[in-house]
Amino acid sequence: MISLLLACSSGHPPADEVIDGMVAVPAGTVVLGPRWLQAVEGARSFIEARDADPVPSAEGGHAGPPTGGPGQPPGGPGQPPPGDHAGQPPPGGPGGPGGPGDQPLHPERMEARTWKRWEIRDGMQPEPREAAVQAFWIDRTEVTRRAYKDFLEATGYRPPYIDEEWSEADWNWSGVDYAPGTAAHPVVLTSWYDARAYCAWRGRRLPTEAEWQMAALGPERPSWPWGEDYAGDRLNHGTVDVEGFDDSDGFRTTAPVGSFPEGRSWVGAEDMFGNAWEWTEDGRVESWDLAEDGHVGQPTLYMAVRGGSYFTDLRPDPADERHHFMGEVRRKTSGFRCASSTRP
Amino acid sequence: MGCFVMLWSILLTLGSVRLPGGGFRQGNAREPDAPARQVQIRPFRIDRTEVSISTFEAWAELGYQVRDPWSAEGWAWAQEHPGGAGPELRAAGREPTHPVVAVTWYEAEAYCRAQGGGLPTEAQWEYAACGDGSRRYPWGDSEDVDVAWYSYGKHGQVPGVDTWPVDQQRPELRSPHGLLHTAGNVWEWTADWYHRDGTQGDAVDPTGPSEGTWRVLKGGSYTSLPSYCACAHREPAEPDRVAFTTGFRCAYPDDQPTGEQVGEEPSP
Repeated sequence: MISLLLACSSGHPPADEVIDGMVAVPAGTVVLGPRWLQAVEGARSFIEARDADPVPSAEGGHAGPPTGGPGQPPGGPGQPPPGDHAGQPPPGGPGGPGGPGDQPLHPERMEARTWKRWEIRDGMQPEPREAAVQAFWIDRTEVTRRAYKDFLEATGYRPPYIDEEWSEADWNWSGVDYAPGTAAHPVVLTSWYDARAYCAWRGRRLPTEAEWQMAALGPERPSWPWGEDYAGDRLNHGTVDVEGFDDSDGFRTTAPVGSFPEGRSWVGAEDMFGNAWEWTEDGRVESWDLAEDGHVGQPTLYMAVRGGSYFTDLRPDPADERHHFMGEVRRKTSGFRCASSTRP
Repeated sequence: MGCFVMLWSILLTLGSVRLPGGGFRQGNAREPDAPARQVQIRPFRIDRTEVSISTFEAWAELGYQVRDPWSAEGWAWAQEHPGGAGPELRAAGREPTHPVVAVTWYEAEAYCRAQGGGLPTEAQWEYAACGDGSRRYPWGDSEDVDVAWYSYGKHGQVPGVDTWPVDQQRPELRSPHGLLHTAGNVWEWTADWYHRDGTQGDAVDPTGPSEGTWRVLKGGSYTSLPSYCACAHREPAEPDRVAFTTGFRCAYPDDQPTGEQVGEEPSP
C-alpha cells in the first residue's frame, strides 16, 4: 500500500508504453466484492428519523443513489429492479449550483447514504473474494464515438439510438453520425452486447471485472485511481446534492476521454472512475458459486459495470463505482473499453 | 413412435396460424435501421405462440443427437456445447408453460426444421406480428397496456415483470393475425442476418443479407422498454447468444392450395 501511495504521490504516473491505444497491466491478485462492509447501525435510526421528518428540500435531500436505485439483488433472470431503466439521467434539470468540488458532503446525508449502501450490498455480495489476474492489455481510454463510428461503418451494426424521449437530442446518433463536436467523447447508449460486438470486431474483448479493477486500482485497491484522497477535479463526476448532474468539473455530461490526466490510474489508464460506466465481461451474481477465479461467465441478466459516470457521486463511498446494469439496456451513462490478453 | 409423431404434427398444426399473404409496410422511420418499405409476403404458417419450455424440452431429449435438422454451423456448435445451456437454464426457474429461453439461433433453427418448418424471416415475423404495418405495436400505438415489457411504471403498470405463459394474453393485445406476445415476453430469433441497411427497398418475401455476423431479434422482452418492443425495432445478436430474455417461434411453408384463405385478414 505504501509503495503504491508513494508512486501516486509524485503526481500522475506517466503513460508508459501505449501500443495501438492500449497500456500494459501486470499480473497480480485483486480482491473483488465490497471494498469494506461498513454497516453503520447508527445510520439506521437516522434514516428512520429522517423519513419521519424529511430534510428540507433546500438542503438538497437527494440521498438516494444517483443511478440504479436500491435494486433487488441481481443474478438470475428475476425481476428487473425498478431503477434499472428509470435511473436514466433525466433530460432536463439544473446544472446544479454549488457542485461538489472538494467540499465534504453534508454529514447527515453522507450517513444516510452509507446506510443505504449497506442495505444494497448485503443482498448482493457479502463476501470479498480474491481473484488472480494474468498480465493483459487494456485500452488507455474509453472507446470514443469516433472509433465506434468506424465499427458501424465497417460492419453495418446498429447505431446508438433509443426511441424514447430521454434519448433524443444529442444522444441518439443520426445514422452513423454522433452529435457534432463529440468525436472524442466516450460512446454511450451501448448495451453489453454492443460493447462485446465492438471489441470482438477489433480482435479484442471486454475486460473481466478483476482485470478492470487491476487496471484501475491495482492490487492494493486504494479508494481512488490516484490514491486515498478525493479530488473533484480528477474525474468527471456527478453529485448527490442536486439532480445528479454536475458541471463543477467542467463537464455536465460526458467529457472528451483523457480530460483528467491527474486522475489517471497507476498503469496510465484514463477516466477509470467517472465519465462513463464501463461494461465488464462478467455477470453480476448473488454469490461466487458460478464464478471461476472471480470470473462469472455464466449467462446472467445483469452484468458488472465499474467506474461510475458523469452522473455518479462517489464521495460517500468510492466503492459505489461497482454496480450492475441489465446487459440489454442502453443507457446514457454506459460506455466501455476493451482488453486483450496479448500484446496489441 | 410413428403415431406419436403424427399426433405431434397435428398438435403443432393446431398451434399455428395460416397467414394469407399480401402487402404490408415493413419498418418505421423512427428506427435508425429500418426505413419503411412496401413488402409482399406469400402465404405461410407461423406458430401462434412462442415455443414453451415443455415443448422445447420434449424435443431436446433427442434433438441434440439427431443430425438431420441442424445446419452445418449449428451442428458444429452443438458438438461443442452438448445439450446447449441445459434444461435448468432454459427454464430459468419458470413454469413449463413459459417461453423457453437461453437458446441460441442454432438451436432455434434446428428445432423449427425438425418440425418441418424454419425460423420466420424478419419480414414474415413483422407481418405476422403487426399486420399491415400501420401500427407501432401489435395492438396499436398505446403504451398504456399490460404487456410483458418494462414500462417502469410510466402508466401505472407494476414495474418489473417476468415472462408470461406463452398461451396467455388478452385478445385485444394479440397481433392482428392472432399471435400472442409478439411484443414483449421474450425476444424472438428470425432467420435473417442483421445489417443496418438490410431492409432497404421494396421487396417480395425478402430474406435479408446473404451473410453477416449477427442475426435479427424481434419483439423485445420482459426486461425491455416499450420502444425495444415496437414492431419495427431490430436487434442484432450473435447467433450463439444465450440469454434469459431470448426465445423464438417457428414458421412453416404454406400447406394449402393457392387461393384458399384461412388466416385472419390483417385489420386495416
